[in-house]
Amino acid sequence: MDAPLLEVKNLTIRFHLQRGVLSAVQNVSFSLRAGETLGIVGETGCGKTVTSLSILRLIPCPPGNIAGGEILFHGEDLLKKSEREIEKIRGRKISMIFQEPMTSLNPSLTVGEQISECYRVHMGHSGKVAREFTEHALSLVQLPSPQTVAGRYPHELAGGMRQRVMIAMALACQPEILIADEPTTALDVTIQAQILELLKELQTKMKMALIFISHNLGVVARLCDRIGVMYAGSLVELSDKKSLFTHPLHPYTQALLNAIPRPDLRDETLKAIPGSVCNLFDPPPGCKFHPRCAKAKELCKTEMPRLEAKSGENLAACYFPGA
Amino acid sequence: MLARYVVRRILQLIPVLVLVSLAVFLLVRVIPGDPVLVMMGIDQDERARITPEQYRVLQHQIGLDRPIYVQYLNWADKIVHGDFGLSLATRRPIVEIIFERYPATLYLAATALLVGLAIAIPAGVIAAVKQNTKIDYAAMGFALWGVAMPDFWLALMLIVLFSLKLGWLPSIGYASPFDNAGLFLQHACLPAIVMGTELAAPLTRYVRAEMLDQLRQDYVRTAWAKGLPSRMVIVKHALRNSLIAAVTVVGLQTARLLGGATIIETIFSWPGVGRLLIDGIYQRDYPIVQGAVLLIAVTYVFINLIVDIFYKWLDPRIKLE
Amino acid sequence: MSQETLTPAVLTVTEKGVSTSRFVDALRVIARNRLALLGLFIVSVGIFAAILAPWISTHDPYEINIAGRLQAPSAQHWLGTDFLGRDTYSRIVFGARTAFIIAAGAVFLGALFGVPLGAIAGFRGRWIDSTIMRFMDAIMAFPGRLLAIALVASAGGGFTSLFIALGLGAIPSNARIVRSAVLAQKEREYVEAARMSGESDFGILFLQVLPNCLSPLLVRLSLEFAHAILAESSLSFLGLGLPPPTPSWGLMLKEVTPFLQLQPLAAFFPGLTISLIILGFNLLGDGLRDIFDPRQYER
Repeated sequence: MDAPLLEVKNLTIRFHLQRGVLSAVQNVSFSLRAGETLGIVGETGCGKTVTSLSILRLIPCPPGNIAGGEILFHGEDLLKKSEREIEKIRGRKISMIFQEPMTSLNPSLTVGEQISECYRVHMGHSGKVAREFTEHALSLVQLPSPQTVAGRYPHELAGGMRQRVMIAMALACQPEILIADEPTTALDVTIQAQILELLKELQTKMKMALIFISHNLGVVARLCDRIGVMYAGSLVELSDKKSLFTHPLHPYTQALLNAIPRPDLRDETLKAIPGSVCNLFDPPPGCKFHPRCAKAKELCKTEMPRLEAKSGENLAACYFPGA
Repeated sequence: MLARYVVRRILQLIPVLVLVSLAVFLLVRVIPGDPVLVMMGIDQDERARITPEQYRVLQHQIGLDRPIYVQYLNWADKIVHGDFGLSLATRRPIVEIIFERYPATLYLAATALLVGLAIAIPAGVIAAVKQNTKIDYAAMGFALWGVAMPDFWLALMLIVLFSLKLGWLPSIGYASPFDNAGLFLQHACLPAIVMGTELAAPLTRYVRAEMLDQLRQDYVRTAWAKGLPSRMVIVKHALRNSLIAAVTVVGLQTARLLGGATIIETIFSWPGVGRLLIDGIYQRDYPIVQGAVLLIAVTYVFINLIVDIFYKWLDPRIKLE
Repeated sequence: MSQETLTPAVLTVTEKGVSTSRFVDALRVIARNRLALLGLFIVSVGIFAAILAPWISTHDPYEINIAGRLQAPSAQHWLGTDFLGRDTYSRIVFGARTAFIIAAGAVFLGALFGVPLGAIAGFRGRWIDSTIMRFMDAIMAFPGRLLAIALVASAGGGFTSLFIALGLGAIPSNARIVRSAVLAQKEREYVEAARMSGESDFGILFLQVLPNCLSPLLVRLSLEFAHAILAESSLSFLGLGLPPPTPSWGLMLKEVTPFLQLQPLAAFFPGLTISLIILGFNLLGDGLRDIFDPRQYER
């Protein structure tokens, strides 16, 4: 098997705020192979966005602080690179699209200008060539009449079109990795499906790896080969899609699956997870899920479990994994 | 769309202009004493100087024997046709005098505007980018102190330093920029710095706040994520949007500039409308005062109109509404 | 550098929900805001100087001593003397009285007319609103200082005409602030409730709505105060304000301007005083805005 394209090792991120120190991400490790699709799911505030932003070094420091760990891209630590070097990777080798296509586009520049600047900065293309590439990129994301769209301002486009523009922008330089942070959450359900379809298609076409972040297990399942589950800043399970849905290892994953409405089981009531997410300023000792876990024992309250292989290549951070 | 906005905005101007002219018209009427004597520049105690017969002739000449609204309409009709009356001191047509002085005021205001923008935009941007560093505190100190400092005091202190102590720059005098640009710049230097500071101080603060706000926006994060170099993110993306919002503040600050011109022009003996106004007051040349006040107010109203239109034109989001 | 600028959405969620009582919050904001405290301090010093002028001055502010004119600061004359040999320090202290009395009068007049006009415009809307606001626009069409100069030029100098000239200029901004505050309050449920219970519009407006608009007004008035002090000194500097020998900061500056070459310090101190007092009111106003602006809590 090839060496992984991207390897995140023991990543720990804290935010120093007025109220205290918030541990946003703790000891998160995962790897991504070329062309692979990795999904990361978790509730709002579980650290999935912070993790993804840190790969491109987009965490504001201060108040943010990458307290430890490595992010290896082609074996080189992105955290040790200079600002100059990381600028050459951002948008060129690793791209990102965000949740809100409206606010994520500059309101006072035309869509075409915002895409073509990628070509000018990264490829050194002239204005004219960049414009041609821009139109090509817009047609790639299946926007009708790319020439007209290029001259439009973001507010003149519909939500789904804006997200297509974002995708065109992110894929402009044919990156090796695309990080999509909840790209469909702000969209209508029908448009969601179209955007997911488009992402999948483009991914195969361009042979790039995809990290897809969502709070919605269903969406992740449609797209991803492997799925990581995050809870309160930690990666608690990392399994291939099939095993995750059939044999979830971590109790939190099990609880999440139980909370998904399933049309085939009409009589069964949804099981909400008891309790609420722990306070990240003052997390409980041991496993952070133990106050809400039915299977918690004494050990879980004192010792934090490590993410380890529990069943084949599937990893979980739990002393008592499995059903 | 823009054309329709321009038309609507111009229509809105009409009542304002009417009220402004009414106010300027009434200005002379609220002067204590007999308006006939006031308009003729005769002191109350000198009343005996003119016979009742002469008085009636004067009263009729100025039209003060008619009802006040007729007087206003007559006056406004003349103004619209460019007849501002004669100066009491020189008996020259006022329209000639004020438009002789007008260019000097505009040149100085424009130079001051450039100075102000040249200070405020870089200072505001750097302060925002380097938030909570010494550079930021220095810029904020400048902004707070610049707003608090009376412009006439700053002018005096600069004269003391650069004219009296160092002898680098003249403290009085004027040359037209088109006749002798170098001389104009020499003379405009100090007044433009004073007025530019008045403009720059509040604007620096505004640009900084606006930049801080823009730098937090999602689209700036997108720009970073695209791998743009920081100068491009800051200038092309964040500053562009900050300046759109700052345009309205620049418009408002121009008011301060025009109002400030009265004192600054007087201090530096700058032959503009502001100094004309103050001289007119000293000489009790009320027709001149009326003309100068009206001209400055109308200038201000039109600057605001232009700024508003410019703002609409700049911000693509508003254009469609 | 690039990384300092972004705030992840995660943070806004976790930072919320700190509010205890509003009053405690206000105190906390003041205490944290050292600049506002500085402003309060400067303003207090100014007010005390104005009240205690006869007791804290070292000389009679009107006492002329031609032999000792344009002196530099000394033990005898702390801030030197002016072109007639009058003690600059004592004149600055008495000048505080002049400045504060005129500013207070002007601010009071501005509020007296501006608040009801803005309140009625906002509450009634329609043609009353547009008529009142057009008049306000017309007043605002005169760039700040010009209006005061024009009014004083026609009404003559002296206290009363300064009150009027400066107060009139303050009416529109007060009216605008109150109008927008009333517009925001008008749609609230308590107004609807009062209307249902048969209270008169007038009663609702002045007893229910207006008290809720006070905080933006208070901020405005503090800034207005600074404005009035600056305007008074400008007019006096032009010789259009108070007649000599009244101790007024602007007039003091005017009087020593011909002697800049001989004794620049005589012009330095009065101007410095004006700057400091205005700085004080501005800082206080900014601090008050930080306290009252509800957006502060959401941050």
